[in-house]
Amino acid sequence: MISVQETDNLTRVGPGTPTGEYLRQFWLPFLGSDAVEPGGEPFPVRLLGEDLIAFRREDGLVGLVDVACAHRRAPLLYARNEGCGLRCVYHGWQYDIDGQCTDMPAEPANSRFKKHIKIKAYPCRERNGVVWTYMGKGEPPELPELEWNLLPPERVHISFRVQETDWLSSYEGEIDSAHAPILHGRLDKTSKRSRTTMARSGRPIFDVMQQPFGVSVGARREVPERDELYWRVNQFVMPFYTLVPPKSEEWAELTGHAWIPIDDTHTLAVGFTYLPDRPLKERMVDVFTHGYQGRETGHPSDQAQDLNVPHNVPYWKYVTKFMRASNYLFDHSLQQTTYFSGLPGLWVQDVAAQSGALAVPRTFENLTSSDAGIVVVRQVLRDCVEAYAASGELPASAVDPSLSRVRAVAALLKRDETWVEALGEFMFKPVGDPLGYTVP
Amino acid sequence: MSVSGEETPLKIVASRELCRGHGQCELFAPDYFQIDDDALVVVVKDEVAPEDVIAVQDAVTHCPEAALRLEQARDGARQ
Repeated sequence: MISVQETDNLTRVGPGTPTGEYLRQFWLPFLGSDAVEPGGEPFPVRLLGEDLIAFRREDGLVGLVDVACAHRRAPLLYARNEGCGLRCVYHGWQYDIDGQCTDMPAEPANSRFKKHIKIKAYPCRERNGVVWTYMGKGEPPELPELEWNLLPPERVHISFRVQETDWLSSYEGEIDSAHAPILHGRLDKTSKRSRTTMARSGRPIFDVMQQPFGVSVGARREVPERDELYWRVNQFVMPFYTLVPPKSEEWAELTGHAWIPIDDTHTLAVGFTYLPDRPLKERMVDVFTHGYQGRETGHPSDQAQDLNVPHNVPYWKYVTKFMRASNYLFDHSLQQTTYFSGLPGLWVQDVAAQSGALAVPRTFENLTSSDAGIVVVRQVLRDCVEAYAASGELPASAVDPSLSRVRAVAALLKRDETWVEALGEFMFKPVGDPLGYTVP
Repeated sequence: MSVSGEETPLKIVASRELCRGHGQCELFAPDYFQIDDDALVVVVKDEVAPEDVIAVQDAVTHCPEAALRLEQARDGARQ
């Protein structure tokens, strides 16, 4: 069992911290492509405790550079995005996407000083609507082969939002499938969600297995009037991805998140929902985009953004109305009529529940049998962080992008079947292949 | 000072480790300083003629990196 102190250490992600240095050795999906326009407004970003500025050069390339001009530290947030990069509005120094200063208009014409000036810059790559950066040492590996970012856009819905939780509390909410039928329960008997197999099934028994890509968190449940067992296998993919299996045959989408640490107390939740082999239903995309009957669903809707957030707040475009300051728009009366939780929508329920961890020390935590996946993932992360700090050793998935190609699975199995043998082939399907089974 | 009592000439000492290519020296005393392709100072001639002392001292004073200084040349250095 990992100690409280060791667990807290995993949430410290700034420069020089063991966990922060470990996480820097992985590509970070840190921005939606549509957040930065060619020649448009620079966008403030904070990653692993570092304040940075993202921008898209007029020719379309994305840069991620230091937050301040190297001259006298004027904010590059106000920079003009023109020509080959960001031009500081104080004295006109200009920086390319690699951080190199390319112009100093207030210096004498013979000055070569700019050649010596290079601000911090991290390499970026863009793939299917997501911008990635690498803040680690040496040459970056190839991007991880995560299926949700390898499919055509019509098969995937991706969203970005900021939540006020440490990254550990965030991802732990998604490998713990025990909470789902409770926290997300609805009182409306016509709700389709309440008719899912998970909602009808009994208490989960967990079976957790360490994998080359991370950890599989299997949970089996008894199903009323059925002899089979209902298995759900969520995946934790190193270092911060969670994958969730489909909920029902009608809603057979795979879902999950990348939980990107903004700093010790904030997380960028990159949500994705996808069908590997066909476009998402139009109705589903519409519900994700606009909400359903005034409530949030699996993704932040176009009504969720807090439009009053100043543009100097990191990730201001991804800050929502559903934050601690607004009490997540909790309405106790809804517990009597609509939601088990009184919280207005699926992702809002998750983030509100996860946010308690910041206000209350982890010493108050009491893990239980349904937290088996959380316990194992914490141990694996601690061991990986310690190994990297001691010898620079990284897990195989950090250098082999193909190890990230895995799916979460849900299926009914006979009692004498093991999920490892029965579901293995469905976990490691080629990108874009059908699920290969009927979702219960 | 020299044996004869005349003032010894001033000699330029430049640090390419400290230099960052601002080019101020080149502006004030182009006969003595150049900035090369590595954006670092090159001293073209290091002994300062009496009529150029003020210009070279301006160059030294205006170096933002304090990469330049003037020394009295040793007597032996003139021979």
